[in-house]
Amino acid sequence: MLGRFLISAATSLLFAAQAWAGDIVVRVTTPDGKPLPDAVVFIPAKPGDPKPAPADGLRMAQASKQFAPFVLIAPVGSTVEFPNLDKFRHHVYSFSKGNKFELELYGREEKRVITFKTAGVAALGCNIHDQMVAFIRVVDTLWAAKSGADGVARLPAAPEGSRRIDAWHPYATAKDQTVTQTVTVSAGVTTVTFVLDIAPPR
Amino acid sequence: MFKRLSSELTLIYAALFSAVLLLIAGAVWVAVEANSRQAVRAEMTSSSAVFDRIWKLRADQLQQTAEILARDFGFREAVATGDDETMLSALDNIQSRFGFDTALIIRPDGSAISLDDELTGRADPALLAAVTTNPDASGVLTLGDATYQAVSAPVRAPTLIGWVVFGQRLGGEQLGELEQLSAIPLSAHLYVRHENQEWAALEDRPGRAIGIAGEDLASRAVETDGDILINMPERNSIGGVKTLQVFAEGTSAALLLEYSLTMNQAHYRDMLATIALIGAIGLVALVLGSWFVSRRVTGPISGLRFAADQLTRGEVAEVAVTGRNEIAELAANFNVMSSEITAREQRILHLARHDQETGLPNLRALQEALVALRGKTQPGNIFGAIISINRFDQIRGAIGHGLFSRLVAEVATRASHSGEGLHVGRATTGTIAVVFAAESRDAAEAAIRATAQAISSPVTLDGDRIDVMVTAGLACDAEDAKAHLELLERAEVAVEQARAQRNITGWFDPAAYGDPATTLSLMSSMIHGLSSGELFLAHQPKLDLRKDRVNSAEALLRWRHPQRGMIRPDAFIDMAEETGHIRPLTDWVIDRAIADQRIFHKAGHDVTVSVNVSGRLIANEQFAERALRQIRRSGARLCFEITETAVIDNPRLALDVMNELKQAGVGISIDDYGSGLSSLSYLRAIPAEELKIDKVFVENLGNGNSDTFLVKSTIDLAHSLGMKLTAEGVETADVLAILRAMGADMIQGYFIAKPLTVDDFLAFMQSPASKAVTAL
Repeated sequence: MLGRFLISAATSLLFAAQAWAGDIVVRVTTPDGKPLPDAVVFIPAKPGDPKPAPADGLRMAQASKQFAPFVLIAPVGSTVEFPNLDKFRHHVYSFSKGNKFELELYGREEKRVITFKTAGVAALGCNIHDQMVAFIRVVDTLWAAKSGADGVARLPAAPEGSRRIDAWHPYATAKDQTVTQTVTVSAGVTTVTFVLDIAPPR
Repeated sequence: MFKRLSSELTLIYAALFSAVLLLIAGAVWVAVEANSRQAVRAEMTSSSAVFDRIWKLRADQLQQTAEILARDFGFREAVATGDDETMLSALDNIQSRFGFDTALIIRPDGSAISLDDELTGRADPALLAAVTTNPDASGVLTLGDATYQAVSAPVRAPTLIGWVVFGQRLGGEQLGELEQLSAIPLSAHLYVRHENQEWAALEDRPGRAIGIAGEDLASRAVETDGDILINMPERNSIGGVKTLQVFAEGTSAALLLEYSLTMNQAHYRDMLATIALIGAIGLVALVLGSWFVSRRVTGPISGLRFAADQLTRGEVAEVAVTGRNEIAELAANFNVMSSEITAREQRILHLARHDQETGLPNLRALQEALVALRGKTQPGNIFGAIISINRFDQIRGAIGHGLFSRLVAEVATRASHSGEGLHVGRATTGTIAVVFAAESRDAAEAAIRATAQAISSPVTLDGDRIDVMVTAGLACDAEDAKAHLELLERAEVAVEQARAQRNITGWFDPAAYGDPATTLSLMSSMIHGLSSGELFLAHQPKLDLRKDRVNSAEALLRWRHPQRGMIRPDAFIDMAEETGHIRPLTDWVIDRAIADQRIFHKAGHDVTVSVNVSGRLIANEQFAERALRQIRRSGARLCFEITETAVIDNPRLALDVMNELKQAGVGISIDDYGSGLSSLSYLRAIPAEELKIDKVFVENLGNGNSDTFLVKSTIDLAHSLGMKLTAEGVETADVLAILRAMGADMIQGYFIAKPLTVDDFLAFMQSPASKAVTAL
């Protein structure tokens, strides 16, 4: 909730800066039409696009041997806090290229933060608890949003004109887990639909 | 089929026992066969289960090891960061620690890293597909030339960044280990089939190849109760098939656990051999036992059979009776039967050989004695005698049959005591027969004379003295087989011949006896002679002393035989009477007499012709009818000469016939008067017109004896009965003169003429001789 709040705060900020642009409503579903949450929809940055500012207060908590949230969007340069809400310790790591880190065993009382400097995917795991998996999508664009439980993501104040839109989900079967389409953004609301095939690991 | 019951019993028992043995052996074999298969299947099922566990244990070990490696943080980091050197050293470490034969890492992009350079680079597509589909794949995997039991484990960090694959080599060594773990002697074979290829055996141990193509085996696989079985009769084995899990799709693998039935059946064979041995011993024991038992049963039966054969051959048969069973009873009954049969036989034989009235040996016994004699004596020294008690019927009539039998017995006793070596028996009622051997005919005759002498003295029976006189006939065994008579038959004839000659003893005279065969041929040639003219009538003139002329004649039958010359009438007429030929003969004589009389008549001589008619014929109505018919038709004047005895057999009929003849004009003449038995009552009854006095009275007339008186009185008797008297046998003028003086009516004899042929008779009638005679 807090994460979502932060993103909406950021977007409202962007929204204020680019009032001239249109809104994009992206609906993400699985092939059988069910809404797909946790998909990251974004307009890849083009040269000349304004750079997003690093966000504050991003958190990837560990509670009940699970990361929360499952997917977190972090603009390049953002620092993410990894609070341990469990009574036991965790050993969080990422071997993702550009965002490799390791938070060796730490407890509740210990505060750990990581700054993500490279756009891409950071796959998070816990060396102690295999079932703990989360992803941080590090973006270098202003326009990125995560689909909610209803499968809808909103990209407000998107630049008008023809732009590529990517939809990424950690378990998507497509190449790089990403599906891409090009849309023409006009003033007002543009609605885009993505269909992603999902294969969760067994 | 068998000559001996014991053989049959023994064979039947042996056959039954053998059949039972065979059934048992068959049942055992079937049970063993089924049991063997059952046992093998059970063993294989358990072996298969053991194998399953081993396979799984190995897979688990591999899997665990792979998991451990895949989850190692440092290893994951190395994989995630593409640190190939670290990865390979980790693989090397694990491989050497656990003794894995191969290990490799596959990345999601399809690249593979391995210590084995051949596996490094692009991963096998099937392998990649397998791990992609199932990160924890496990099963048989062929990499390059080698086949492994392989497992995979995913490497996650935490997303999938690759797979670890470990493999343990599969081959003869591993199969050998497996075989050793089995409780039964199994032979393990591994078969693998890759996509679009055939089943191939994984076998690197020398001499362990099955020698049957994999595809062939696969085609034989049959699922039975959840087990897949393959029959390999060429190896006398069965196999159980265990389908093995495969690592990658498109490959199939199977473990074939082969079990040799030969080994399994071997100890069952021992069992069967034992059964066969026991059976053989049992069979021998049974054969011996049943032979012994059946001998005990059939031994007495064989004895009975042997005795029965003896009895059949007429020998004395007796069976030893032992024990108290049914056969012993049978044997006892048999002995009783046998002795009774023997006794009865002896009784029958005695009856057959002995005369019942006197107990003397009979003719049959004498015949046997004769046969015995012939066996040791020359025929010329064998003699037979019949000793006949004279007037035996009168004696028997006087003393009765019972005493007469005793008389005969006494006579026989005396006979047998009268000399050595005499076989004496009863021949007929009044005769005894003696068979004996003697040096010569004279000795034989002397012996029989002595016997006759011994017999011929009075016999006292119940106080009555009986005079016994005998006549004995003798014959020699060597003589005259032509007579067709047995020795004793000849002796019997000899008795009659001796008696005829009034001798006490006499030899058989074949010449006097004649030959019946000759008799029959004589009769047949006589009948022939009637038509051929060999027989003819001779007419002897009769002189009528009253008229002094010949006016009648006696027709006498003559036979001039072409070979034998003149045959005397009494030689064949008596025979004709005996054999029944007298009727046709007399018919012919009558016809001939009528014919001859006609000849005489034509010549101017009226002659009454006398014909001799047998006494047997005069009472024959058919004969009389025919004779009358012939006489009436011809108007002949005939006279029938008969003897007085002709009327004795059937006086009424004979007299009727004679009266009929007389009415028809046929004269009746009584012939040969005085020679036979004369009955005055018959003489009076016969309607005769002539009495012919026998020539024995006439021939000696004038010699001063009593005949003159007899003839004179006979002439007077004839005249007083109204008959003329004819004297026969007149041979001299003196006799003629005497007869004329005594008043005889007619004379006949050689003094007048002998019997003459027709021509001679006619000549005589014309001749001066007849006149001369008449003139006397």
